[in-house]
Amino acid sequence: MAFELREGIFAIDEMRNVSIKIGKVIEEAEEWAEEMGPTPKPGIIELRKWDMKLLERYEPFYAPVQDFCNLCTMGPCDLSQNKKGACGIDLKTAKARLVTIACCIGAASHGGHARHLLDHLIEELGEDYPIDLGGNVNVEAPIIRTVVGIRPRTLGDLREAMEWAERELMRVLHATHIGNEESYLDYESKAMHISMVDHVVMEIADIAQIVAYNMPKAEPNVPLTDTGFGIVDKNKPVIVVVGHNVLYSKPILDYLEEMGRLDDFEIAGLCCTAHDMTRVSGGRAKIFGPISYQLRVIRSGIPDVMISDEQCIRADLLQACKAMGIPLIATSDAAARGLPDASDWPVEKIVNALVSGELPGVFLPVPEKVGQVAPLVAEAIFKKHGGNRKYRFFANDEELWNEINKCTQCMSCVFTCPHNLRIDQGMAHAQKTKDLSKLAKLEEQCIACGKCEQACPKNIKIINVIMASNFDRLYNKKGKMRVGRGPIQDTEIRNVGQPIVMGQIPGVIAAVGCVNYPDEAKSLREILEEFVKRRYIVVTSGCHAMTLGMITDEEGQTLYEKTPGDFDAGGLANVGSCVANSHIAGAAIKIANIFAMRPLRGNYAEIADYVLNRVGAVGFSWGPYSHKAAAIATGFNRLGVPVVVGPHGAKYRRAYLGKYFKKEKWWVYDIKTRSKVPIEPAPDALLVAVETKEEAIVQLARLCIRPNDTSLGRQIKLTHYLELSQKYLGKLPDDWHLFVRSEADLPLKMKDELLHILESEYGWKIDWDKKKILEGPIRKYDAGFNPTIVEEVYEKYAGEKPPQ
Amino acid sequence: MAERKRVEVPEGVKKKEVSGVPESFPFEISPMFEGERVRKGDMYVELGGPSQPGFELVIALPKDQVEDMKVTLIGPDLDEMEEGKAYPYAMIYYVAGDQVDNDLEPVIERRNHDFQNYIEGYMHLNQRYDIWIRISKGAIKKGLKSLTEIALATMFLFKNELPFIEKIEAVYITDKELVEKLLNEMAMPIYEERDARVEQLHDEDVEEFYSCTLCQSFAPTNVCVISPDRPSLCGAITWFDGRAAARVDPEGPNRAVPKGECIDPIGGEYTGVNEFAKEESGGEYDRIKLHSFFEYPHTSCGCFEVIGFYMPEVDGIGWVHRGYPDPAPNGLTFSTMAGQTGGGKQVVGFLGIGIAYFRSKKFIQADGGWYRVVWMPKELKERVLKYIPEDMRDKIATEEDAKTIEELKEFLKKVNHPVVTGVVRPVDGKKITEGWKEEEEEKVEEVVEEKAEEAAPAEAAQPAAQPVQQPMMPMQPVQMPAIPQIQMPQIQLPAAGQQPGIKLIIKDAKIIIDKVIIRGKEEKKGGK
Amino acid sequence: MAVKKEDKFPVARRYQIADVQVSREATAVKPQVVVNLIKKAKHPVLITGGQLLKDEKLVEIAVKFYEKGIPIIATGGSSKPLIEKGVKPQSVVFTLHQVTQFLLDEEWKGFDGKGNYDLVLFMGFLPYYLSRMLSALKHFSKITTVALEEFYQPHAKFSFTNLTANKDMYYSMLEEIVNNL
Repeated sequence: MAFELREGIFAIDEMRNVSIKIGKVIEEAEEWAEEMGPTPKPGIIELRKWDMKLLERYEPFYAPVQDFCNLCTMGPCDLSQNKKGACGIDLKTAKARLVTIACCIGAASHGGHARHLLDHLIEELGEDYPIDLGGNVNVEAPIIRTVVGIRPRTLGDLREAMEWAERELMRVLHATHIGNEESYLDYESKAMHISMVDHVVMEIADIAQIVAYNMPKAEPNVPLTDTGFGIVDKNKPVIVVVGHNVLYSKPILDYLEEMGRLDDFEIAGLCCTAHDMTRVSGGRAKIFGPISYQLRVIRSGIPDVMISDEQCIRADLLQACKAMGIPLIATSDAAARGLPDASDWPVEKIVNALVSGELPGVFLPVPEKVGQVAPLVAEAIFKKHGGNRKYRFFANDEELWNEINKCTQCMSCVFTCPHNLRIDQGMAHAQKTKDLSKLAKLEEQCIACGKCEQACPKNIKIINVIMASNFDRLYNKKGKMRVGRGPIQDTEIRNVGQPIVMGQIPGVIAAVGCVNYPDEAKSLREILEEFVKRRYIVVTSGCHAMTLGMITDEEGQTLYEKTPGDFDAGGLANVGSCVANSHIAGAAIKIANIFAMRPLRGNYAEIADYVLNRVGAVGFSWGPYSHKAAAIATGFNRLGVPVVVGPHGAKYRRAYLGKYFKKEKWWVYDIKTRSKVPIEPAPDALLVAVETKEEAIVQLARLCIRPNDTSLGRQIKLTHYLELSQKYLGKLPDDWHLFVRSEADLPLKMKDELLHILESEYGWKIDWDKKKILEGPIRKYDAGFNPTIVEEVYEKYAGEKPPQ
Repeated sequence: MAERKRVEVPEGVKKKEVSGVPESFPFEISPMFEGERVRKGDMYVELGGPSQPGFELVIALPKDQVEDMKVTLIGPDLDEMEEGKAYPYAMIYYVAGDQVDNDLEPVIERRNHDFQNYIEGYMHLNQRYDIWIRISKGAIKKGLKSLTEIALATMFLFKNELPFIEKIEAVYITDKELVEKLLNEMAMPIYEERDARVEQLHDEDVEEFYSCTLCQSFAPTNVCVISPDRPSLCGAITWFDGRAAARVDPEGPNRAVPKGECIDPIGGEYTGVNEFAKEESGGEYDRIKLHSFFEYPHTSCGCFEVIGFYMPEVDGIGWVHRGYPDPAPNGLTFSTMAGQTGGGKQVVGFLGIGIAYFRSKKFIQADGGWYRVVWMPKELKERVLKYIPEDMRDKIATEEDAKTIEELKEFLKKVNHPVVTGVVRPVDGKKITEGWKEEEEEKVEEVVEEKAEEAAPAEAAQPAAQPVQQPMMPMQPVQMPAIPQIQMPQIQLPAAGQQPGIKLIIKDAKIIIDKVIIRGKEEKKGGK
Repeated sequence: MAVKKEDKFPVARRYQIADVQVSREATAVKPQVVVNLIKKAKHPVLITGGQLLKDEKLVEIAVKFYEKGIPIIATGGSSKPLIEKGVKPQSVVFTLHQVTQFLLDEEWKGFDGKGNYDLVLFMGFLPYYLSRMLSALKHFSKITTVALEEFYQPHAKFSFTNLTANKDMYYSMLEEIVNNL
């Protein structure tokens, strides 16, 4: 047979010895019919315009930690007072660059985790393993759909999103090289961009693990799991897992289940791997607590073997374990800890080396082997001491007092402690009165970072002293946490639509993040309880979720035991580990799709614009500390969701704070009336750090207000804002009048009083017969108000260019 | 019509009268107490509830018969009650105002529940004659002394929220005899009268409908039109509620929609409604037929309680409620179908409604109403069973009767459902569908037989839509997906060397090759 | 009790040993210097923080400042105890974070509309939170900042020295300021 080979259509007479491989056969109906939006798989530039709109209103604020830069050999450079360094960069831009780097690190962490998981799961289960999150979740991957523009049906489909994400990380990180950006606004745009990527990779990771490991799929009634320091039975061998990647903890559960020996061991986790372990095991594994519990757990001798993977783990983990005779198995190439690679060793050899003490630890990136080695080692180690060394920070009281008596109150510890805890006063009090209560109180806030011990000239084991002083309370800080449920159901979102517009649900508070709380841990519960009581929807994840599982009230119950796990008024839903935060952003995106049928596909700016103007949700990180948290928060910001952080969050260096007095910045286009309209400054910040829990509560209520609230919605939001301000700040807030559009917005029981104040203090004109406001509000209320700040969105729905 | 009269206080009964809102109340009032539950152990007293009679009633009276902000308590007050016990309880409110009429009474009455729950330490459950109140010990400790304080606080909130109430007066009764007497002689007849009115009030009887654009906050083009025969799809607003809201704020999200002329009495289309819809939806659509599934259907925002879907295979309509997790016979779940509609767009083939619409006499009457309904989940069907005409009750399938289209077809044939032979629309007796046609035999049979002659192991015919699981190799028996394009002449694929006798004949296929890689002389790929 | 020159004056130890910057650290000052600064300022203001909720004495001092005519911006919930004692803060709901953002804007007219503040005193904050705000003001504005805290604040223009070991001295230094205004 002869044929010419050229492009185009041609005829074949005959084919010999031809094999035809058809890659994919799909029904026409399966192809996603939704039209592609303007920005699928966006690069740095595609969404820059949206970023600039946000940055115009929410001006970046920089609080430098360092005022110099030493990243290149032309330095170190003094950038103080906003001077320029050798490369020409000024202080503001240098800070913006640092912020971008931090967000890159955060995105890379989740991305590395996602890639690792995805590749492994595809290898194990195949490319075609379907993504099915249950009958009530139709929009399975809202973030991927919106950002990447694909609808993943199988694990293999997630690869496309992953590859795009990895590409973006390269581009953004590249821009932080010396001699790139000149504009701090453009760095912020890149930071937002890579943080949006962060949300995508988190979604990839969580969806993949939910379907592959059969974790709860958007179920409100998930089991409760034991959480806290005192949860393990000290008469059993204890396996402790710390880190974020369930790939290494799950095999242990699998192995023990296979052997029928799950009940002979205690398996508990620290940080997100604990979350995911409990999601996999239906609550059978336990949670010691968040990252601040690492040293507490290790120094108390509880673990018989320690398995670490990646992120947020102590960089002196090996040292700490060695000191206690606890063998360590490191499993992630991100943290090999200088240990020998035992991947190819037979299980017996590994076990012997660890149990005999020949090696303090091994690097073992092979999940199945970890699954076998861990229990064997734990059991052998346990036999050696029979449970004797568990829950003891000191061998006896004498040792404890020896340490205390060494203290000279030099205060070196105080000046290095992140919270400036008055350890000196605690020690002095104990020395004088033999009363440990002041030291005990420190435990409530101590994050067990160990800086104090490093600074102490007498090498006092300060952490042990603090923990031992509060031992009874610490031991009893245990409760139940609801296992992570994964996504929010589409039907749950539909369910809350009507109550929100009818003013029965004031808003959504998402308490996420790390444990660097400025206050005792129970302050977190106090803050959230205020909102649960007031019928807000409260969502939580990560270390916050775990902390809530450890704070009990007088009846010995945690907030989970008193609150349903539904995404509904007065509910407390735990989505799971940190990668599950993607479901919170996903829920906001789904609102746009479910109620307004805004197309998601490759349509990020329109969706973020919708969320900014309509969805009354606020992120809340009372104790953020990591780069991941920075990326997660910035990712929420790009989506139009404000975030309130605790005071340590000021050390992220950058905030997004709008100025209510700059009236020209607070405007929207109204599609309905075809005009440009001035609006109230709501929300007036995208990232703000509060100092106290009182301030946090008021800011959270305040930042739930949105321009497109209905009257009833605005009324209920103002009711809570005003009530909380009176309760915690002592009076009505200074800016409440800005949020009043009509008399229907006024809280019912205060209506008369408020109308009087509007008239007397703010000079508004009131019709007292009809109790109506005639003059004064920034704008009137119109139910059909259809706001947007994106010109393209305006054009799309109005059919013409926006007014000037 | 039951008469509206002030309550006559019998001789010699204990009476307490208080007027005017006090400086402050001995309790907090805030929506945050809405979900507050008072448990038996915490309660001071119970009022009404399962063991004692009780009712709440709002009646409209002429202005001169109402003393504003006055409460009369007949019977023992809180300080005379014994802790832990239950007492009878009646709350009667007289309301007056230029815009107040009897239709507004139930709307105002329902707010009693909401407002009283805002009071700290006071729990109000249910409504009408089912009311169940508990007052907590904490409330008494905080200084609550008298039920008159509760009444005044409630009336204060009423006036703030509903400014068309110009005067309001309360009569609270805790005297058993009087409560029972008034329940039977006054309250029950009024409740029955109201139910009858709702039952008997139809679209034709009123001059205007009411709109709701609250959801435009999330779905900018959605406009709900609420008529006596069509309540809101979110379940929150009836025609009466709309009327009250429009009275409160005529320029607000609930407005009067003058009907205008009736263009289509069966489908429910009115000129006034059309104009309004065009205006409020920003021109997104300009016609609505209130009681039609297929033509200009009513839009929804996304909060509908139930979704209707059309199954062309059976020419019938199915309904699924939110919360039913399994797929309907069409293979789609509530969430998937819901994703096809909503957002304030008119989408034919799916319709979001509220459960209350099942009660309506005009339930999708343009399309045959219940006679076109073929499937609903058992839970939903039981809930609305009494509204289904008796002759259709056994003909509507549930998941117990059918889970797939095939099973549904079987079932419908078996019970001889109207869709099989053609639906006759009850409202006018018109036959609106043709019934099922004879199915065309698929030509698949022939093709398979042809292949069976030529290929050794023949496979049974599969519907053309099956995706191929494995890459096709000449050595394995294969299924060819139906490729419709007719471009190519016949091609014969000779079998590979080792396997005997399998020939693949590709007829009428268009093959598009993404890449052709020509390797050295090792393999002959289509060359000489 | 005024701090006399001869008294053993504590060393200005930074609240956090690692909060180091190239630019000059705050001048540790005694109460009289602060008094002079306030008297010379055109539009001074005292910003109070959340620690007032834990320390009654600081509330008393703040009230005295107010009574001597220094306006107060109350953040962190410090407004509650102040209002109970009759103070009318210029702002209660904005966080220090937001107030600092406003201060950095030269066009801001202050909460009282009289123009931006030229001397800002800080009292009653978490040290690490305040330090960041002072850093922002140091590098991006010309406002004179004075930290009246227990911990020495390196990034203010002027600050009390480190008084953590001697709370009484701290209180008496604060008293000295208000008494001499």
